[in-house]
Amino acid sequence: MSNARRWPFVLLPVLGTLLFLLHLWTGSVTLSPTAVWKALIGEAEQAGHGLIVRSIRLPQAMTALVAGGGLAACGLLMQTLFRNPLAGPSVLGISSGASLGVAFMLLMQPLLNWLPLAPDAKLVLASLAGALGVLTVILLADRRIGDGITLLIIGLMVGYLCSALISVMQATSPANALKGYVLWGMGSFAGVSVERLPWLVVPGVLGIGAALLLVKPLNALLLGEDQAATMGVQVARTRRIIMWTTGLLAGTITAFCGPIAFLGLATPHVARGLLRSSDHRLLMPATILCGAVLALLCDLVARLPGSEASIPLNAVTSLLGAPVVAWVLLSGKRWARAA
Amino acid sequence: MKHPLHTRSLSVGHGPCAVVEGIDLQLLPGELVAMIGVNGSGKSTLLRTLAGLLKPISGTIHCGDRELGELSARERAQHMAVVLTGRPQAGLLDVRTLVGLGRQPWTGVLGTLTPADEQVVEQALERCGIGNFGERALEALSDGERQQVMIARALAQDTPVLLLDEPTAFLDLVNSVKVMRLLQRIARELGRSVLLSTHDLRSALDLADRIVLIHQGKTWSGTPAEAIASGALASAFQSEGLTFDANTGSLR
Repeated sequence: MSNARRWPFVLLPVLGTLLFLLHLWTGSVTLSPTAVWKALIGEAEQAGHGLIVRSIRLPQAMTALVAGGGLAACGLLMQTLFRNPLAGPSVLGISSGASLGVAFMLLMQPLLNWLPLAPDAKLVLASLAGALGVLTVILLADRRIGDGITLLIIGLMVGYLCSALISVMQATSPANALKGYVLWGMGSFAGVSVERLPWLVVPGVLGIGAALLLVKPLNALLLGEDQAATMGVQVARTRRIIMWTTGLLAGTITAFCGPIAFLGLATPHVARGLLRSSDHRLLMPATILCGAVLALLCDLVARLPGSEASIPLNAVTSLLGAPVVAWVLLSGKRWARAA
Repeated sequence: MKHPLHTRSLSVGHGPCAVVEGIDLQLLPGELVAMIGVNGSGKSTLLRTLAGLLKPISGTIHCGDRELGELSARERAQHMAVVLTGRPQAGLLDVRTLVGLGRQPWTGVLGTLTPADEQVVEQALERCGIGNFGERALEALSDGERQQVMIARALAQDTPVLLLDEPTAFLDLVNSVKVMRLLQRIARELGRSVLLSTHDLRSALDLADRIVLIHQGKTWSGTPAEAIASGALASAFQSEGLTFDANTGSLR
């Protein structure tokens, strides 16, 4: 097929499995592998162990897995669609739209009390509404302009607008509501309970599946939209499918985990570096695996295993992600061009 | 007669204004046709309209016995392969993978190549004289080699018609002649209809079977000998303040 490196497809699943197990073993209490196993099959020696493993650590590790893979897939979809190495769900304004929805929900709570829904459900709906709202604006603009670069700039402007609206709401909201929003904004994989997990996993897996089915038109788009059109790609339709997939993934993940910085943007660059190829048939699965591994790793670091304290997830993803992006731009113009 | 590509009273342009009008063009199998005209004469507009990237203002384009507009994107891609100007940004693709993308109109949902597809790709690489650098990255190639790769990709698409927008634009004399000769062989030996736009008057007159001259919104078509003898070239370039020397086939 191509001379891309294949060993990442062994390395990444092995690393992922190891990190997943470490997630179950470590935390504020370190459990032995046997204790974890017994807790999983419901024969825990201490009642507390079962609770820790099955209700806290397992859902958190699953959340990291799906959110990491999903955001990374979003990043690659955006980078190829816009032929821009700095594109990602946050750049298109989709994460900002989701944040606006969540901010509205958390900061303007009195206005929404009449809705007969659980707070969690309201949060997810608000985030999805925000993401899809921005997406609609972008799609309408897309129909008028039909040019990738202009669309990217419109996405940026929508992002600024959302931030400004959030600032206005923050200035007028009570301290406790503000605290809730700020905590959500730091990002976390810990907020998804077992009961809520399917609401993240089902859209996440659907979105990731769609991204994997798009590899053929994505490869053609590497040669430019016009050239792709002469190769049998229905460009306008493909562009819409890519944007809906991104909206579904980014909207859902942001609702549950907060706006996670850099995972979507940096992961495709790491995967390109590992494979040394931009053939999406290999790059897309590698990017998704890489995203899951990086999310698990960042979350593990953020939890500071063995201590009671933890640091915000977004601090860790930024500490790891920002140098990766800077390094890509400085050292390897070839990778930047490859997007 | 079922020409692989033919137009009737075709007008092309951007928006409502026609740039070139009344185009009656037929491409025959095995024929290399060079489109000549000054910048802004509408060469690219015509080529992009024939490729289905722009809608015609009026008139018809037929691919064999079907109208271009009736074809799906896939059917169109199975009939015509196009090489556009501009550098592809696919720096991290190796040559074989990129040429393999030419098989897209023929492959399934994931674009997986069958052994038969792989064989078509190998033949395209060989035909374009780049059989020995299938493993190289696109970014490691010179401009001339990159153009050969893009032509190999179009060839791998396995279509009766090939359209190329200024395939020699960024090339030096040697590479430019090499590319033109390659296209001539593709037309003659494989029976494809090749239509290209070019500024390279000399090699167009030397190698093309037919010249399409675009001048002041009209087209003129004929063999290179007719183009010189009829004075069509001379009058076209005279209005640009240049003299066409019919003996040497060059401009002064």
